[in-house]
Amino acid sequence: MKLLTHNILTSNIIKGVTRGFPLKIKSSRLEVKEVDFNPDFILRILPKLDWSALRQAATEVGYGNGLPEELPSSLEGDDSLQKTIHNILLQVEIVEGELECPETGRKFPIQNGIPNMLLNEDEVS
Amino acid sequence: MAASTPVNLTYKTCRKLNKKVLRCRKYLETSENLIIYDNPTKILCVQNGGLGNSVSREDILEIFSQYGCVQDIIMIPRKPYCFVCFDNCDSSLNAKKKTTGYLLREGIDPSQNVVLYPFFVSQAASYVCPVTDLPSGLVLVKDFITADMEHELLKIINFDGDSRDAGSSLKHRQVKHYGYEFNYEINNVDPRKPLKEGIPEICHEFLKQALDSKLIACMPDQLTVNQYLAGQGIPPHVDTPSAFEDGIVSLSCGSQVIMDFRHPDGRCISVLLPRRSLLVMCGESRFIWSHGITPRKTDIVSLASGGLTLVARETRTSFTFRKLDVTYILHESVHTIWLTENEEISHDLFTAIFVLQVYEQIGAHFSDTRYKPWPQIAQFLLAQEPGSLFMDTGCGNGKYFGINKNIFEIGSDRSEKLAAICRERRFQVFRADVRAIPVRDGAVDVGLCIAVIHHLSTENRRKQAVQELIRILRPGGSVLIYVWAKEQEKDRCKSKYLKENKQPIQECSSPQEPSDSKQHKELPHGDDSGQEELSMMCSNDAGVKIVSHFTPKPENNVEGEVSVSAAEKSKIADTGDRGNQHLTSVPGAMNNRFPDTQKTSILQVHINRTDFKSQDVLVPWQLQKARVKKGQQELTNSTSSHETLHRFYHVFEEGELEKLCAGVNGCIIEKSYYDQGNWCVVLRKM
Repeated sequence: MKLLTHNILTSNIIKGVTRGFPLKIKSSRLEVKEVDFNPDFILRILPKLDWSALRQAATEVGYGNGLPEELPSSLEGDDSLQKTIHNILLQVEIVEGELECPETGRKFPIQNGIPNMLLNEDEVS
Repeated sequence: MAASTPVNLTYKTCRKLNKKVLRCRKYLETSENLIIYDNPTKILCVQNGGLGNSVSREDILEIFSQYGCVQDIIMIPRKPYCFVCFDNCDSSLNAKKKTTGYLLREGIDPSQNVVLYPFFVSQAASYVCPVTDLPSGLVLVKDFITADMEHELLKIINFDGDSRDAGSSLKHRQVKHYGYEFNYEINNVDPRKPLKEGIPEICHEFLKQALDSKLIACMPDQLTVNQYLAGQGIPPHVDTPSAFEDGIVSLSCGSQVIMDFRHPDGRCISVLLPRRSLLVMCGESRFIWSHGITPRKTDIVSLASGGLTLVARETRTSFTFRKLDVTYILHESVHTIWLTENEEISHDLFTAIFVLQVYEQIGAHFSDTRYKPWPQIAQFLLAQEPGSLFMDTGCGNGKYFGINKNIFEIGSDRSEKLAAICRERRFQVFRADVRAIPVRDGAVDVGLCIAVIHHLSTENRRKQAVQELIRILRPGGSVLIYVWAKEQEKDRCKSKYLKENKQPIQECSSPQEPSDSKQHKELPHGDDSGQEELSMMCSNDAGVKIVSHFTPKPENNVEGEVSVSAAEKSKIADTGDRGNQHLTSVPGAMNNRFPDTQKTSILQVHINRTDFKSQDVLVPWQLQKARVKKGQQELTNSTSSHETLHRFYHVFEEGELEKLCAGVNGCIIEKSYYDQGNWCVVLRKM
């Protein structure tokens, strides 16, 4: 699971959970796989994401360094920050670990890079 | 052929040549991972003498045979080099000296000249040289049988003997079957037609040994014997996933051979199968990697000393033992839907259905290079803005990923196995249910949901699914949905389907569609992921034949009301364990009322190759025998070995999908259409 994927995930499918976001990450195994750097893609995708959740997630997995609290209004020309963001969005992958619902503490295991977000029937909202 | 061997080189040209040699060497070493030797070896890697440079084997043979006895030339598709194998180092040394800088062909300008640069290699490229790193799930046991046993086995098979006994001859090899016949036209076996001759008794002992040592999980019941003469091979293939259990066993007699395993991601591993060795293919190596034998007369074999040598191939007889996968038939066709009033149970069933097609998907996708995604779906994806966030709900094996390279793709599927395949293919995927997509509101730009919703059993559930698909879209974003249509006979297709008893529904596919893998059996009934279903529909009679093959006998095929009930448990959830014991089972024939009749809904059984009589249908499938689990209690099915199982579909009528979507707030139907037996809509979120 890349942090970009994490950024859209929520546990609000659980009965009683309102926001369920961002899911806490506990990573027991992490991989960094090289992905071609495409600044245009980064610039296009960033506005769609929740910056503070991304920053929190990156911090949780140990990649929070160099991430400003607020996303600058423009990243154009800031090559170094673009690359840092590229790394945390696309290159860092959580292979083993778990996600945790911020409201209920319900845990979703991540195995072989795949979060299991299936709920039991009685948990579904 | 313009050929000028450099003889009297000036200092300058000599330096230039050396530079080129170094550059080529660096390329081979770093990009191709070849180990180049300074001291002579018998094998030359000839840079620029490859198929990638449009150089033919004949070109190479003509040049290199001047310098000695060329034992083999190995050309590799698309590579700019080839391997030339001599019988001694003097010849290869001589050839190297004479051909370094050899101008094989002049191009339009000098930069397009084809100039040869040979190098001594200690190890040919991994894909032509056997390696010790085996594909996951592959086990090789050397000296599994004794030379005496080998002799006995070959005597029994006796391909050379009496012609009646000699088995049939395929294009590139001879073949003989025991237990069940493997029909190459349909790439499957008919479990109802066992052959008179079972697996020869002589094999039982070593098979039992393999069983006891846990090399295989179940006793094989089918044997195919192939005889390959030196120079014969078999094209890359995956054994029909639906036909056989995991764990395929191949015993090599008479000669060694190199078998090439190819992964869909491009990896290729060549494995040397020594004479008398046993190869066991399980898991990935059985379902994902294809295997084949390149027709050659020699194999490159590593020596204990670390060097390489060429060994001539002799006549090789392979004994392939397989176990018919009756459980797969259960899955595959599913199956047994028990629609009870208890929602939870029926929902679990759908989970099961979702995973049932897994193996077919794997096989079909990976073994069929001709497969093309459905054009209208591909078009939809290609029309999306770069940088879009794309979510495929019920993505199956990720068939619709990788079409538009400029969007970020995320998939979800209930099935663990399918999700694992996506992961294997480096796609982003999580496991989730279409009715509870764990994605925050408005997070995605574009959605896809192909052949998922028609497996949901109630209108409410189907509506929930559409609501979820809309919820996760950003305002202005769109989602494409495909469901199977009740109207399979639209337009010109009708008459053909109804008239020709042997033709399945999918005949209404447009004829120009590529014929799809033969592994798409039972095409008309589609599958959960629907992707296969779609491809099935564009399939030709390869699939058709199989359909009739497994169509229940008339007496079972009578349309009627059948109540079904079930407890089902996805076996896929039990990773890697494909034993029958994890399957559910139906006590008694399906046509009987299940004990708790009162609780079950009544569904009609669809008759294959006819129009749908109703929308909620059970599609029949013949099950040979299986043990099934009802609840937690395991039962052994002692009844007839030919049961008919059923799977559930809600096929959509014309206008129904639109009506369903119209009932979902916050979206408009931008487009709706019919595509090869499916109703389709594009919804846009307001």
